[in-house]
Amino acid sequence: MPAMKPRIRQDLTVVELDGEAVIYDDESGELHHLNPTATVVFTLCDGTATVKELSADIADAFSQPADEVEKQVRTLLREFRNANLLEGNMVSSAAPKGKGNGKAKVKKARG
Amino acid sequence: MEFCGWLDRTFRRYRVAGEEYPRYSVLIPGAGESSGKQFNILYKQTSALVRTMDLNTLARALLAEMESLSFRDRDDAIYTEVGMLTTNGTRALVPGRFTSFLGRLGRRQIERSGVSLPGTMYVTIDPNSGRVVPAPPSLKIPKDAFDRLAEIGPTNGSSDRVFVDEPSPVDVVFWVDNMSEVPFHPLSRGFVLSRLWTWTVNAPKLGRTAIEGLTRLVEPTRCYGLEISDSRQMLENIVAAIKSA
Repeated sequence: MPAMKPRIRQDLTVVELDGEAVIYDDESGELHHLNPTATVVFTLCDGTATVKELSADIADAFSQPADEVEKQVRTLLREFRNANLLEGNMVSSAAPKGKGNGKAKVKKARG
Repeated sequence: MEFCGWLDRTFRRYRVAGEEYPRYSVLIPGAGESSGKQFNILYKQTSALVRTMDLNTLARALLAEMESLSFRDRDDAIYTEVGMLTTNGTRALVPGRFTSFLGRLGRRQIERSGVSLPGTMYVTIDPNSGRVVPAPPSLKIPKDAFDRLAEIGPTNGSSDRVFVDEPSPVDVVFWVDNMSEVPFHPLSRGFVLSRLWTWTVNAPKLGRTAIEGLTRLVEPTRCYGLEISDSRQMLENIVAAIKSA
């Protein structure tokens, strides 16, 4: 089975200010705010690299041990999947449909 | 009683039968109580939203609050619960609920600080330009409503509070940071954008339009977190942060 290459959903509205991504999901009505580390990982999720390749790139760029970076990347990807920010997510039966419940929500992903 | 008559005439078409729980109340000094030296006060439940010597300012603040009751359901602009203050030509946004806290200071303290406090707890933002703009009025009031105020009590001719009368860019956005241990510190614009979203009452209705408009507002600004302190100190910190650039 080929390794997955994570890709962010193309229907999200993403803005980046001061190295931090703010992501609006029109489907759920939720807003997500990522710190700089999570933003780096998020923006690299373009569907062209496996998790190992992505982690190796980050480790090289920041001169960090590759295995430690991979642990952090996998943690972040789990958070992204739980927040339904990646393509190919399994949507749970409990997840809200449509425009959410009318309340503005912000979630923060920590890297 | 004269101000009651003004209220009745101005908002007559919105009068309801029976009793409702009062959300707002107004204190106007009586004619025999040195009325030129006492504050007119607009309360929201038990919070003093605006304290002002100028009756026109109080009436505008009251009208703005009445208008704000419809913001959640509107999609003609972005409506965010922040107020705009000005100092030395700089326009800054502060959380709306924080405005009444700052307003506790005496008139002379506020004047000495060089800050003009917000007259409203909300700003209206044009999503296309990201500028704060006057709120499109939805309430129908008599055209001469504010002209008649001068017959009732003191009006200074110019307000001692900030009202948005024309499209204006914002220079600084403040947030009250309950974790801060320094008077003020820079905040990322990404963080402030996410906070403004939570305070935008019609964000769910506008969705993507709101986030794009708020981004246009925040992008050119400087952002600061303020340490929680007493009103005087926080006002000084606001001035210091603005001057720090």
